[in-house]
Amino acid sequence: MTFDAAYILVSLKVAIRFLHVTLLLSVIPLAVGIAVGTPIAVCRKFRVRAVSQAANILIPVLKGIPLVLYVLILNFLILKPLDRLAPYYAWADRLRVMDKIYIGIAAMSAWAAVTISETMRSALNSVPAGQYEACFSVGLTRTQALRRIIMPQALKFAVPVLCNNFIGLIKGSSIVYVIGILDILGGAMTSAQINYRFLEAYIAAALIYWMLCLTVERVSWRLEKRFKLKTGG
Amino acid sequence: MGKLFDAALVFDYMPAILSRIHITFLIVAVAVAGGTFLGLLLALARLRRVPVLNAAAVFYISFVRGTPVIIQMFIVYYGFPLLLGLAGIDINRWGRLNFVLVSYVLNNAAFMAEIIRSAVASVPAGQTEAAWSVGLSGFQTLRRIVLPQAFLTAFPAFGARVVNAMQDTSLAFTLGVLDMLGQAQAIGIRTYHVLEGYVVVALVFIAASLLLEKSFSWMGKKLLPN
Amino acid sequence: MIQVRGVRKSFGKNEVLRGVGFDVKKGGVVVILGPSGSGKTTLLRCINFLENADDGEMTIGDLSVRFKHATKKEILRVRRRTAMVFQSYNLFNNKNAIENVMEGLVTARKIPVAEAYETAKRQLDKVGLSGKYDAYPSQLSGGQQQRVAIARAVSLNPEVILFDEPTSALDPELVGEVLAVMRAVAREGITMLVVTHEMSFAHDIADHVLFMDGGLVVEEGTPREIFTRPKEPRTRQFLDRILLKYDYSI
Repeated sequence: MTFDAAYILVSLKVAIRFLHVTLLLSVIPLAVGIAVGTPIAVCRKFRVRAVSQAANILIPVLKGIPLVLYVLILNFLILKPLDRLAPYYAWADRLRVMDKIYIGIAAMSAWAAVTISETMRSALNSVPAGQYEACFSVGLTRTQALRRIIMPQALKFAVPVLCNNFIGLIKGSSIVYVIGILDILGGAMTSAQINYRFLEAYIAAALIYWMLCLTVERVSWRLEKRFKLKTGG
Repeated sequence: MGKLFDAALVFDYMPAILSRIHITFLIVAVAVAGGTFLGLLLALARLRRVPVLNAAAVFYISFVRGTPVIIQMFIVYYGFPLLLGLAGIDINRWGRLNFVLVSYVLNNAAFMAEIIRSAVASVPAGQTEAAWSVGLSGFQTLRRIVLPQAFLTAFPAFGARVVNAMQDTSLAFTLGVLDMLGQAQAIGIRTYHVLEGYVVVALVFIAASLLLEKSFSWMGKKLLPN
Repeated sequence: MIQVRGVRKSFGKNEVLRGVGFDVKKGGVVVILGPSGSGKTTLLRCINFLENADDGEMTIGDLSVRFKHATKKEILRVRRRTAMVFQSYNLFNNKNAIENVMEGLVTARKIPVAEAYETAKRQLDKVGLSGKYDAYPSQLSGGQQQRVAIARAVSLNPEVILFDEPTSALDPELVGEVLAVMRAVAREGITMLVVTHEMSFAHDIADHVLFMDGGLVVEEGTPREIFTRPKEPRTRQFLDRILLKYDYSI
């Protein structure tokens, strides 16, 4: 078999139609990850008893599980019960054969929550203790201190790392192909199924992921620059 | 079809799955060793601004860091034989594991290059100037003054990279390599109990990640007493 | 009027405060002296609940609290009656000078923005920073930052301002401008509790001096009593050493 660059273009055209799937699989988990991970990080920072104790044990453990296992295990946990319900309930049968993108989003979101809670924790720790003390000394409550003083400063640290997390989510989302979701990678593969041009299809998919990641990197630089301007240093 | 999850099977499957752990270790060891070596060369090309090579390194590092490792693996699997075929080398009979090893080395090289480059760049210029002032050659300066200092700076990022590399090996099964996850799936096909196998693999990865993290932070403390 | 009684605080096995008590009269300036490690800073931090003391109680005006059992509400009320000036300034890095002063007024005290702005301007003018309203902390010298911090504390009109070694982090040539501002604050009749090594300030401005060592108040009195006729050998030893080191400043 020889290599024919023209087929890259063919695969590109097919794969790009699945761009929205990859974006759904990375943007929603990013949002969920921030929404869930930030409160966890705040509870750990302020040592809110129950939550912080649970998180201190769970987060390091969950961090050790590779993303592909999140996808495989969640796929199994959601599909198996549906398999059993399917003979009795029509909705279960429909869910079972439906596009599995919701499973992918759930798995990516769980993984993102773990990753991003760690990002936010180091962001909160990046703000010097004196800033917290100054807040309390002028009579701000914890919530006021967080919202007005700590978070704005923590974000300066967090934004580039969150952009990195986002890049990780975009690249990681390709893993959902193991449970048969048609994203950019899956889409590129469908084109190869017809003409057996696998190498060209993989290169086409890689190019799209690359462009996505470069775009996020650009945005990250912009944001960083803006934060630097805002605090005058 | 039995229960959804049978805890007893976790123990039953443990030995069979653990018997494939050497594959994971092999991939990590080769990927980190080969990746560090290649990464050092890439970093040097960038730091010295070697014409052409510098641009090629920038391009290569950006591509590897901007694309999923799973795709890189398949590109190597389909592309490497073609590339070597041009040079008259026939590797069509290579086992799949070899392709996994090559792709993980290439993948880690890019990450290691960035870690090494930024660590070397963080060593103050005064250190290099001082080394020159006492008559050290360029290579001596690098080997005796700059790299040892850069090593300390790079160490935490290096540790994090090794943990990531280990987690990335969980994708080798997609190329048909019979590692722990491959074994779990093989058992699942035979017995219709795949979840228990996944749980075993998850436990092994959790233990390995915690162990690696702890030992790197322990070594970090030994290296940097302050 | 502030009364502090029986403050105890341990860090692990290390007992840093072993039952400290003292009074500060309204408008009074109390200076706490003592060797490093004597518990001065910890005492200030306990008063502001930046550390949780193990025992003791405090009355500020009509508000009485027991350190060990203070509720969140009580802590907030204490903090809103006190203000603190830190050794490392601790200006809010994401706010410029005038916003730093306004933050507590607007967010904690719910004072209207326009009014808070006027107050902040007045206070910054008083510490000699009229031209620096828009400067961020990273654009100010240490002395300027500390002057903003003092303006921030004074503007809250607290019952007492706690000064935690306010000049220790400053380059020597910047100490004078901060001390001058502190003298002006004292002359306005604002109640101050000051931990410092600046003997000249203690000597000229304080109306009461506490000497602490080993987690206890070893000796207290007027500056004249403490500086000229110290009764305790430990006080004498400390003063001899410090006056030798700082003899230019007295």
